[in-house]
Amino acid sequence: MIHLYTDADAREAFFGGDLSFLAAYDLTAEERAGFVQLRTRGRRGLEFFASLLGKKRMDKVKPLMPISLLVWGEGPWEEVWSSYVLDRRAEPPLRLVLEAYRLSLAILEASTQRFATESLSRELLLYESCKLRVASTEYRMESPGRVSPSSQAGEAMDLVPMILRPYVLQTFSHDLSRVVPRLEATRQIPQALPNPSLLLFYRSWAGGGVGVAKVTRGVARLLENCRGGESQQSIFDRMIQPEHPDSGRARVAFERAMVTLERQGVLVFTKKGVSNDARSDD
Amino acid sequence: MRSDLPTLGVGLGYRPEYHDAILRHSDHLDFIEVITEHLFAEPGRGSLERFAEVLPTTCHGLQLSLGSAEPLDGGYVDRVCEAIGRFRPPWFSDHLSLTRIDGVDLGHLAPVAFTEEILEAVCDKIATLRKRISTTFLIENIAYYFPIPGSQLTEADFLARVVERTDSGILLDLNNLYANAENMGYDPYGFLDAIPLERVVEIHLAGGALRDGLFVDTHGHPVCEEVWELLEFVCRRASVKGIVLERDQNIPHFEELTAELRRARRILSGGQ
Repeated sequence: MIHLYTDADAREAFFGGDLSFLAAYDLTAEERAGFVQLRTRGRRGLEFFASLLGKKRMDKVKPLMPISLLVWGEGPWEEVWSSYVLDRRAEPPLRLVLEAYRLSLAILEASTQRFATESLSRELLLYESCKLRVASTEYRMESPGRVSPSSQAGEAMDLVPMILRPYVLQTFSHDLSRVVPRLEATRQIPQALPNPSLLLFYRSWAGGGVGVAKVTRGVARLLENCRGGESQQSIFDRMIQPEHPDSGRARVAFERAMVTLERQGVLVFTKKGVSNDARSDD
Repeated sequence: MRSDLPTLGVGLGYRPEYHDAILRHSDHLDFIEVITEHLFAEPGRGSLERFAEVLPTTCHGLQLSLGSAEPLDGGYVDRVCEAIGRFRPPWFSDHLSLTRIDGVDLGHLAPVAFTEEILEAVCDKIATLRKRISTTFLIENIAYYFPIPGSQLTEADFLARVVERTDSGILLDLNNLYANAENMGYDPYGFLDAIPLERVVEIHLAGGALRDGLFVDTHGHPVCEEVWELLEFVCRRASVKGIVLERDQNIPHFEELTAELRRARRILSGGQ
């Protein structure tokens, strides 16, 4: 039945007399007769229900995409939704957050005609898409042997840092870490001068929500190495050239960054290496 | 069916749109019914907890998906347990429907085929739920708009067998019943004769409208006369503990809702 609800092509074929999709099911003669009856007696009701389902689904996706609704406006946003649904009408429905992520890509695509690449509006859409990219991945949050570095004084450098993957690092021309809170507070797109920023979108170990943090390029490089298979000591040794005159300062900066990242829920520390497979992609 | 359930009276399905109005007019309400899923997390939970201090509260879920082929979603059931444990409603409810297929949320209540196989699956799910939550569970009839292929039982027989086997109560949505009877061409009173009315604990009232020849359960119109007549019929025959008015669209001035609440209260207390 689900095909008839969500797939307009299958529905159209069914009403046109094509019952071939039923061959995949082991239907009794009685059940098959029920489908034939549906074709003759239930067309209007089924079409109404399918449209109701689509509308309800749109209403469920909307709250996941407050930024694009603001940037595009509700009417145009719904037009993009309709066109998106039409494009993938033969595909099965997705989890809501994954649907929202796919829609965010369609909105980004559609926005190329409407906004310049580095405009604040377009960057806000990209920001929302990055958040949804991380949110749309299902995670298992277990981290065997998780420890707090502060409780392991003296052994902290042997601990293994791990970030959940996928995370997203994205450069913006505006400082969206400041713009987005203002937008959320006022429900209006604020004025903002260009101010490049590098944002990290991550799944927080503290609670599982999606977090956003402004980071430096150095921290971004550091995170690339936090795969859950290598100790802090080893990562630092590899990243910092001992003969470099600033190596001491770099090590201190990295150590501080690690502590901050752990507090923010970006990283978790384990006592021994575990593979960073704490996720299952769709 | 437990006979010690309290009689709550007449209430409203809570919607954030009339949060303030409910507080202002709480003297017109005997209780409110909240969507169980709104109790799972902030921002909804905090304000609903404050409501529960003012008015008796029942919990009405949307996503149990009793009709799904797959087992109950364990994580979802955990959250329902937590919410019921926290709010301690006299009963809680969900729909005779499916909302999830292969882990995907459909976003709306889809009808189940009334077959022996699905009957077993629904009863098994309720039994699993009852092992976790001892609070009385009610099952609501939904509106559907086309005959469900493959059904071997009538909806009334299916519902009757489910509630008898699982010792559950019925949340009878009279607008859904009226809509189905209109759209499928059957007698709603025949449906009422075929279900165990003594198991009706709660009634939902709502409005609907004709669209392209279909009577649609809009939750956006006043309750129609035929539904009021059905309410009178049921209240004369069943020990109804609560009536909830639902309104999700075209939300009118609260006075219009209170007029409907008064009429429901008169009928519940034996007047016409």
